Amino acid sequence: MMSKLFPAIAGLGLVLMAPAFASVPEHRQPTALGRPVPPPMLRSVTVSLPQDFDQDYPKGEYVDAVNANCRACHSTSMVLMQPPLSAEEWHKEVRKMIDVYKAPIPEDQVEAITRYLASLSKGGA
Amino acid sequence: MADFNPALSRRNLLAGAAAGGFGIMSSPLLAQPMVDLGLPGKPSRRPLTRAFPQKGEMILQRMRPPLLETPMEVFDKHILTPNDQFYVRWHWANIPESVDASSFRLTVRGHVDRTVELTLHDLLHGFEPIEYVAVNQCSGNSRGLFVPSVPGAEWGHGAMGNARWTGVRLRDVLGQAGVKAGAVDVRFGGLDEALVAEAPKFRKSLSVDHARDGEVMIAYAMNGEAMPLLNGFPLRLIVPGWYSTYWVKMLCDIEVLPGKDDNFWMAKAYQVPTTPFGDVPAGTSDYAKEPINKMVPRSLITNLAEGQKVTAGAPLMLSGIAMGGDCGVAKVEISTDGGKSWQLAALGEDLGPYSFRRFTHRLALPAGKGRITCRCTNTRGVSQPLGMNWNPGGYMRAGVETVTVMAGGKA
Repeated sequence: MMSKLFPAIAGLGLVLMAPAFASVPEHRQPTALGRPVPPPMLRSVTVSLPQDFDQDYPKGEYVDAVNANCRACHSTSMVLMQPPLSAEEWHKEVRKMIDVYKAPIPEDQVEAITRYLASLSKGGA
Repeated sequence: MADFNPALSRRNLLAGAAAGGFGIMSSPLLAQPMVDLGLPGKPSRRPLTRAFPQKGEMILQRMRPPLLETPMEVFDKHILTPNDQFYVRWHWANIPESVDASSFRLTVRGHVDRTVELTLHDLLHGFEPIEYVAVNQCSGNSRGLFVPSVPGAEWGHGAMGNARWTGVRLRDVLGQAGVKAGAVDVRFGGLDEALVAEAPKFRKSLSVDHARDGEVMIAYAMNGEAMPLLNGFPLRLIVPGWYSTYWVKMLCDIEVLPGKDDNFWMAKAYQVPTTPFGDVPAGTSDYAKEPINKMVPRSLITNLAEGQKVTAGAPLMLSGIAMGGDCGVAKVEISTDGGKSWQLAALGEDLGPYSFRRFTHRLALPAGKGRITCRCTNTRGVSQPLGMNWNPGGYMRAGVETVTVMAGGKA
């Protein structure tokens, strides 16, 4: 498997490699590289991703509950770009954050968050 | 008007803004250029951003976890999407900002004869390299255009890209560990982690037969270069013909399972109706489901923006991109009469069955409103439906798309 021979046989191209694809239908065969490939340089990488923890939700009733609970995991835009949703639909989204994605949101905040989101959908907030 | 996302070339945007029309807006405070994705019934404008490392100008859907959309003009210019404008999508914000190339390990474990830990050097030099061009498309690409709307990442058409991927066969790597008899699924995980320990880490699985088909690739290069960190550096799983949810980024863990994977991301998330094109009547939620899988044909006109003015009677050259889904493009047709009659477009260079294919077509429009529709048929004979498909997850949009232009007298 450790094909140290690869560079040597690669020059012979696809002919030698063809049997390796016997189980794949012809039109779906991947292209084996019929040449020694200089592999890309995989150098260590360090980046800095932009952050926006301090971005507030638009002012409105119960906005404090939303600012306190809905900024740790995702940007405000995740909420603000949604189509208008009913209170019931927003409640489902909040429950999903808690029940599925384990957001540490106190139960007594759910109502306030849902109300804020629903009023956002009505053009309020 | 509301059913097509404008092909947003920068030039068109500027023209639109100058005419007081749709398109680019400047916030006086931030002087941040905006783009209008033409999303019906919901917020439609997004900022353009250059704030992300190793990325050029992108449409900012969400900063954290990053959702970056590729502007339509990029697809008009390039059949292979440049790495620095290739779309980005992460589920959890806990993404390592640093990857050490010498200490990185890819582990193959589980229902195997021996656990294997591979360095990047092992992968680059110890296996036969393969290479092909393939489209990577988010399951929810174009979700923002769904009518009625559904919640989720409200993408325009730019949650996709096409690249030449280089790497090694997953089959060969699994072979080194030795898959035991009775293996059912192979599960993939990356370096990214959930923010909360109990939350479901993002992991996806393929059947063991699919994993060993000789096509599925562990890629270390994208368009001939190491991939940007946000696109999965140093390794990404490539599952040609399948939606991107399976193309696990920063791949570091491969686990062979003796049973069906029932983790949240396979059993609960990314479920689509089992009907063709995942299509159910709007508002339906009760239907047989399956994990999303193969892609379906699509085509988009990339050189005309919604509402663009063109000259009546003058030759108008259309340009666009098509994909067959899980196979090649057989033909692309153009209609200017709402699908009553079709004309064959010319196809550009064939870069393989999983690639975008350029199409071009020359036509002339009479004065007035012109509606131009394109339809791709793939090499399996599957055509894009004339009516738009819909499901509550906002997945697999694939109906024909129409751009409306205004044909007038010479300027």
